[in-house]
Amino acid sequence: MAESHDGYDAIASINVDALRDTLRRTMVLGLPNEDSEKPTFFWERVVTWSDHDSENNPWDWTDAPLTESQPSPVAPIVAYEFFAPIGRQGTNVTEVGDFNFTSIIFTMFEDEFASVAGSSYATIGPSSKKFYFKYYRPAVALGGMTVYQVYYSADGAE
Amino acid sequence: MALSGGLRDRMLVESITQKVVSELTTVGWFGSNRQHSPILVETAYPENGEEPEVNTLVISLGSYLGGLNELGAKSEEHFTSIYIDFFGESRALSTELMGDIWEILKTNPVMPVYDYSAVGNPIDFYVELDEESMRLRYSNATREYQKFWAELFFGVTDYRYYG
Repeated sequence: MAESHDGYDAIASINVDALRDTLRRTMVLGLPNEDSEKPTFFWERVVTWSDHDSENNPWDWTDAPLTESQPSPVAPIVAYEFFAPIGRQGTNVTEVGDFNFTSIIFTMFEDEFASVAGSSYATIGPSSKKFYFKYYRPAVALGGMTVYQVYYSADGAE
Repeated sequence: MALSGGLRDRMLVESITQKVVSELTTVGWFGSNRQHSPILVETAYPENGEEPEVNTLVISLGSYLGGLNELGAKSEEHFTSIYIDFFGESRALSTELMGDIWEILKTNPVMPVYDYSAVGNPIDFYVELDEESMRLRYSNATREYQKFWAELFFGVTDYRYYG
């Protein structure tokens, strides 16, 4: 629900800042107490080499990289839903069959989405198990704010 | 006393593992100045549902088959299969590491098997390596860690006597 589009105002309006603040505080209520258990998003190391093959891998693995970057992990305010194989919805359809991976859907607002966009994987809870980014669900607008949902899944049944 | 039974199989896998690791170390694969995640060596295949660390190298025993050398003889050619799986972080790394392991096997067609339970780890017997094959299993990847998975298979011939 946008505030306006193509010259037309939305039929209703809400106090976006106040609502966003309230929802964020609700999300914080649902986060674990321990920082190490909060949803944390990670990026892969991106490296370039001066002497490399067509896939940008070095010919000599002891060569120092030309450039190297790896954003620091972030743990933004998010809400999340956890799905285990038994009783979950949706499957990953592959050539060799359908696979139901353990997965998490993270829900967040614009600033948080900007901070996690492009992340490779996330961790959550007491386990260090990696949940890999798979896709973005269609963004949903609520007045003047946008709600994003991002789907991550683990490699396995646990 | 000569190794026999399951302990013989275990020493065989251990000897091959140590030989491969030793040769890879000589080439520099486990050095501290490598620009890739460390190579981790395991001797058990990941359990179903378990995600191995990136760049895990697994050397494991496969099935084996016996055959009589001649009618009435108690000795036989015992054929064992060894699998070496590498779950690499990139296609280039998988290709290069498995190629180096292939070279190790081809240049050591007769390999000693040591008795690691005895003082001094003496050589107990020799085996012959052959029927090597390498398969890049990228197209069958269903999980993240299998994206650059390479599998090397080879046969081991062990001449056994069942007295």
